[in-house]
Amino acid sequence: MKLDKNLLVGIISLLLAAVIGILTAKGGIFTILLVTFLFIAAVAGAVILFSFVLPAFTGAGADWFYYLPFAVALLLSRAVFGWDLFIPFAVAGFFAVTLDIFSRRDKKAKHADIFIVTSGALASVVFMLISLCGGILL
Amino acid sequence: MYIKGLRLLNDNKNNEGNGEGFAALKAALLHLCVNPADAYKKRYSELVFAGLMFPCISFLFFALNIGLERMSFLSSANEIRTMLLAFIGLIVGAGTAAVMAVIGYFAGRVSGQSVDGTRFFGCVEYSFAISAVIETVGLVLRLAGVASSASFGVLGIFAALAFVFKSLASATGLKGIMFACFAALCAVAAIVGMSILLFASF
Repeated sequence: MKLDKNLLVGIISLLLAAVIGILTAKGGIFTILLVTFLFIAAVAGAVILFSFVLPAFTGAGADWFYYLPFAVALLLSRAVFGWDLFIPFAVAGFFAVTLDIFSRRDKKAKHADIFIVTSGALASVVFMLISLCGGILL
Repeated sequence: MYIKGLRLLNDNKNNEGNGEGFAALKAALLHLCVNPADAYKKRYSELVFAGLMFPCISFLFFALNIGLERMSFLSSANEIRTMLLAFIGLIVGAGTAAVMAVIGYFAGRVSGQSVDGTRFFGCVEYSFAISAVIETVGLVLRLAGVASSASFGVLGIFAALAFVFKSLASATGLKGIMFACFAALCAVAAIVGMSILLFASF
């Protein structure tokens, strides 16, 4: 069975971030797992929705290598600098992945730049709302 | 600077604008702000001095947010120290963007592609446009009494990283683990910059 490196990196990054978050951040196990799960659902939901509504703007696939640096940064921030944060790393990581998905759109589509920044801004708002619903005040 | 910007626009054959007046310059800046990764291919990404305001403002507002938060609970914190911290933030912002540009340059050397340092520096700077917006919101919330330095402050800088990563991938052509390594270095540079402001003891 051939392993999909991209998917593997995504799973490892998410696990790394979730484990560090659970072990160190103040949010608690349930909250951090809930936030991580809801973020994945939000990314998947946004892609499915846009693929129906605006198929010309939605690219195929996501590059999970965009999430990996944030997981590494989360580890370093805790281990070296003693930070006690989880949510900004998770939000920024999913924001980067979402941005990558939408930037894989058809380059010739009209108003593509405006679409990218709008989708990015909407993604930020959705992630923040999910975080708030998850019980964590950003 | 304005004249130089117009000259760059006129020189740019790929530019859709007609290069006439302020509207064309505004269109170029808008493009640089919303899609810095794509802007690397355009010549107007060389407008580095105009773009320097974005990382500087981002870190300045972040530092101001931290300073105001300290003033609310630390008796030794005062207006002078807060202003000094904001000034340090200004320098740290420029320094962090420069370090990221250097990382991008070396990433280009590793990938075998010649990265135009000036253009990449411009892209990194304009990537911080979204950060400036988030930091402004954070500062407004702080003035309204909401503790937002650890959330909007850190999140704002990290949101800019998402655009920096796109620029890095676009400029160097790196993919996979090598891309992740250099991207992580950029993230570490941002964390170091923020740590300087968070743990500055004056």
